Amino acid sequence: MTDTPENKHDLGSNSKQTNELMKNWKRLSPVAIAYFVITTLKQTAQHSWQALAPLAVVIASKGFNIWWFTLAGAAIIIAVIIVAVLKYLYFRFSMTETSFLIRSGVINKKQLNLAFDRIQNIEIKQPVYFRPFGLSVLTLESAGSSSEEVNLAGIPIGLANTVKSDVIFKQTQLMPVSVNDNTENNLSETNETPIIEQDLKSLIKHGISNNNIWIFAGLAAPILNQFDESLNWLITPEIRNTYEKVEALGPAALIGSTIILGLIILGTLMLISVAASILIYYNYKLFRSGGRIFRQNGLLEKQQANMEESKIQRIVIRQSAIGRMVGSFNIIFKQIGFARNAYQSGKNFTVPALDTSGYKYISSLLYPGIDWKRIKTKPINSMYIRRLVLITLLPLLAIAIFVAVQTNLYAFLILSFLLPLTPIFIQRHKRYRYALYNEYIVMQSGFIGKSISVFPMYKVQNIHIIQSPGQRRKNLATIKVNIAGQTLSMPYIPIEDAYLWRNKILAKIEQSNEPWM
Amino acid sequence: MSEQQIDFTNYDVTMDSLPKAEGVIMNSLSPSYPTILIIVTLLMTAIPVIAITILSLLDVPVLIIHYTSWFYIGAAIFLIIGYFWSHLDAKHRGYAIREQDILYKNGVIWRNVIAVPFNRLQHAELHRGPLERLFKLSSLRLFTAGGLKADMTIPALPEIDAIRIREFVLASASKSA
Repeated sequence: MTDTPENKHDLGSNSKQTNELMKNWKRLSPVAIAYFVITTLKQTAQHSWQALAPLAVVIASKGFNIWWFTLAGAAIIIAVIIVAVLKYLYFRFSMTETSFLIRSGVINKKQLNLAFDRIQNIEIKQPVYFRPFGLSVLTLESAGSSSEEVNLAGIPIGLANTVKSDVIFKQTQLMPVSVNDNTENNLSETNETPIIEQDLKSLIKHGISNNNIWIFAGLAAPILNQFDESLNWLITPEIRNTYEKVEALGPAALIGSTIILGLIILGTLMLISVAASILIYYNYKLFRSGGRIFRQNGLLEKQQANMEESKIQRIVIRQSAIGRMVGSFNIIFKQIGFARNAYQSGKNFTVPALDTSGYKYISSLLYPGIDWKRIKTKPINSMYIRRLVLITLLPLLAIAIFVAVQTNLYAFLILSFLLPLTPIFIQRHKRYRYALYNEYIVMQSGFIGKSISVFPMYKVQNIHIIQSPGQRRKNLATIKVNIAGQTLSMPYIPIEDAYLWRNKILAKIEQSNEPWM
Repeated sequence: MSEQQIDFTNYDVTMDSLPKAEGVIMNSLSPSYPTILIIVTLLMTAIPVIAITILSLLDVPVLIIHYTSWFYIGAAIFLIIGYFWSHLDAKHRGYAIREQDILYKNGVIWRNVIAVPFNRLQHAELHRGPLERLFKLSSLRLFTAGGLKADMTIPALPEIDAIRIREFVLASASKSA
């Protein structure tokens, strides 16, 4: 990669004709092979861990053969390296005045034409192994589907920065001056003052309250279960001895030591989570200028991302159960994204570890006129609880009757399952709250933690009002609000409120000519 | 956002001055729509019934051929319910076109009304299935940026109506965009 950033300006201006004529196809730096190896491994792991789990069962049942395992591992690694090299060889890119052209694919070849004005997100990352070479990963996302996402791995950091400022410049030609300030941005320094800066303490809070540890534990549990039998070799005589000693002390000691062991595992998970939080969000800074939001963060892999404020479809203020205890919130800026991408956390623009004043500050910056003191949210109707109880009661009753016929009336004790469930339903009901405030919609849901979505009415795409027979009797309805690619619903609200929402939102959309995208 | 702050308005909209979407009169679909639904139900029952009959005639040793009579009774009940259901279903569907948006209702038990403002329309398409072609009908599919599939599908519109609605909807969409 010896190309200077200026090279792309040599390309013709009439992109449609020059695409074919001026094929200035460039390759990535060979260091990119390392990147391809890692992404291939990541993708395989993401897409096939479920498929690999049964394989693990097979291995476990057939006995754990360490040689076979090593051989398979080596074969996989070699295959991945070959795939990565091929991916590298077949990856070419070129730029015109108005768009990016990318050719990739070993078997299924594809050529992607990504116009600058359709680029929604630009992100520059610098993984550890790229830093000595001054290389970076430039990620471009379009408003469309995730298949139109481009990762240029292994291009010089200077070129990445130029491309970024170039694209931003083309998108916001109205304010070239303020944008030019940002083009000077380097990964390490900025001359503006951030609107939010996170210190280590709040990052630790974020790590503790992050729900990711539960997801991780949930994923790990079934996999560990499958290895259960083959893990016998782990139980050394020493461990067996200690276990027998504890067992001799009586059941209390056994229970106590199990609890302590559980706490140790939990503590370890939390430490991992805190470490991850610090790794990802170290030195987190959020800037705002020229209708854009910028963030930079990262300890080993420095990340810089930015996005246009007008492309934010809604903001989500999220607090996990543990977050409630330590008083920590996250704000997520949701962009257009279809269900498939929704859980890929990297795609969303997250501001971690905010306190109450922090989330109020950011939301009022982004949405002028939001005043959290004056937003009066309403609860949903309590029929929601009764409905959930009924829905769980019916199958339980059916099972109970069936079992009672076979055995005796004690079978109706099955119904006691409802007892622990009902508080859960009540708690969920309590978390649902909704409000219209000026031109904004506020919708809250959750269980122990909560998640509040805030967005202006003109972002709405379409509205559903749904009534079940029971809801019709009680003059209630469920409203579903669709904003680009995301559906938010509020169950069991009074029908008048649903009508008011629909009328207000429709009137707002039809009067406003603000672009939703 | 900084430009938006300048023309930021905050007028209050009272409930009464808003155009109401709840009172509109809905147009019903083509009277042939129940017939189409009945044909679909017939086809749906015919395929397994034929399959079962062949299996039992050939005396194939599968468990299900011992229950053929029950199966026929079930199919008959399904057809009778299907007949009435088709009429009910058609009765509860309807659409209304207003100056700025289009409303469509459906659902017998869970009644659903969806509103799509022309402002937010991405594209519209006419779709004719084989059965619809037989009855000279079309379905109109409207897409917003709401999801991957059509956000609103109005089935069984007389062809001329469907074309006219699509023209109107697209014209309004481009006017307001």
